[in-house]
Amino acid sequence: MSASALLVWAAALAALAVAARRGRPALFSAAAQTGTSLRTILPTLALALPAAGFLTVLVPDRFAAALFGEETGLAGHLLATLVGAILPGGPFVSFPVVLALWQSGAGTAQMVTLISAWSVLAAHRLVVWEGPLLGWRFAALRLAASLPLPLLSGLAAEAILAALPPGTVGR
Amino acid sequence: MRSPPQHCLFLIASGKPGFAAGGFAANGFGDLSPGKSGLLAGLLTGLVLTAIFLVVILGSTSSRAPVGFAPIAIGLPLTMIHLVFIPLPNTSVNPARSTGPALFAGGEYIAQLWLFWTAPIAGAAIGGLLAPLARRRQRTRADGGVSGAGGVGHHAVRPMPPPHPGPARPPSRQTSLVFVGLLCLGSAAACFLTRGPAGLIEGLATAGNLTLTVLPVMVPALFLAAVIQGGVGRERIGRLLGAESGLRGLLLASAAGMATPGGPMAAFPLVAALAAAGADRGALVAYVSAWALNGVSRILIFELPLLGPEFALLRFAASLPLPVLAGALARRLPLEGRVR
Repeated sequence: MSASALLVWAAALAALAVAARRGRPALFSAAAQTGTSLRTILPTLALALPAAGFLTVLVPDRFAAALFGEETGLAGHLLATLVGAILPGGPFVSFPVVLALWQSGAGTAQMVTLISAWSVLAAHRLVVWEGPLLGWRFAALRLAASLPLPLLSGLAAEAILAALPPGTVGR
Repeated sequence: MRSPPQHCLFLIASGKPGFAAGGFAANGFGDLSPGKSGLLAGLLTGLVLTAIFLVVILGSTSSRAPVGFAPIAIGLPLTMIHLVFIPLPNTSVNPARSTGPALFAGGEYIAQLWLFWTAPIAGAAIGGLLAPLARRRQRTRADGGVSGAGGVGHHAVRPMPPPHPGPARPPSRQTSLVFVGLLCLGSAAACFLTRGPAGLIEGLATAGNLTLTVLPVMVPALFLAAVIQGGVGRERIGRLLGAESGLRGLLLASAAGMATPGGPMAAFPLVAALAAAGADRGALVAYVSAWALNGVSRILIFELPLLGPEFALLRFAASLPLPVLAGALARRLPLEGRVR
């Protein structure tokens, strides 16, 4: 188990202590909900993980590196913004795609841009949820105000990566 | 040589460059298949793909689905079915479409036509049996489960009913499962076609390694998300926001957005309620941006296990101040931005 996985376990143990202090019902409901989440997520995960594996085999190494590699700079970030914005489906579709691109040589900062674009621009969510529920006027304002965010998050990630010792965020 | 329009038509009809009479993309297996795939391949892919296609059609045209999106929901899987299925027997999910070209192509194509009647009809029957099952489970689950459209389930916080019951309905867990299933099936088929059995084995080995890194982090991450969701009630988020203005309002809205668990069905009704309570448009934009970019529960449940804690932390840190920026920008944009 990696050091970071141990860190997540430590955080979960701290959360366990917090839940225990809140009392028995809080602890039980948190445990029950963990079970429910696992039951709902595992079947999808059983399909998503093979999908990620197959996609990794499919994406030609040179393709990912040429389109989204570390050297692609601003063009790579802009392309990642576009792809992220139109990537359909929920997290179980987008994360395997990102994982496959990342494993095949895409830059880490470019993948930050892609996930940020998928989460904040999200064309599919805009059309199916935001417009109908909140009205198209608000959806347009929110979209306009968030347009620069994915690129900014990618550039910030690049700056953070430059300050860290190389290899800290590995594939 | 100049090509009059009828030459183009012939090219399309023959499906090949040059002017040899082709099979009009008639279906066939063995030597008649474009990829020389056998009877079993044609039968199995025909069964599975037609069944999936039927589930998608029945689901997207049901009264519970968002109105007007069926053409997209049906068209995209059909495209994928063609991409996977053309190299095998030239795609057969429709007996009528299989019959027409076979009559023109004649000979062996007619002798093999039986398969392209049996497989799609049997596949459609399987799909027809599966679809109502999915619908029944969806009804018993009502609003629970992991939603497909960019979010996490909303188990702890009971979603309040949307203030304006619009045409949008929650995409069910089954829809998400069908999507991921299509992705898995399509990528497996593409792996097999491009690399053969070795490609499939390599993909499964990668998936195995991935499982070993994902599972140990998944359980603690889910527990962490459950404790956080239990501690943050909707009422508390509403109280946090109120009608605060200025930079303080934007900061509070960002914090509230990050803390809001659940998918669009949980977050958007809250936005409508906040707008009614007098929150300004900058705060609302900051709230939605923070929920989408840095929603803690989605990061814990999906991003951290799948892409690793280091990546999740890097992206979180890089986007932490951005929702405030979006909110400030929204206050200055010359758009009305009224929540209906």
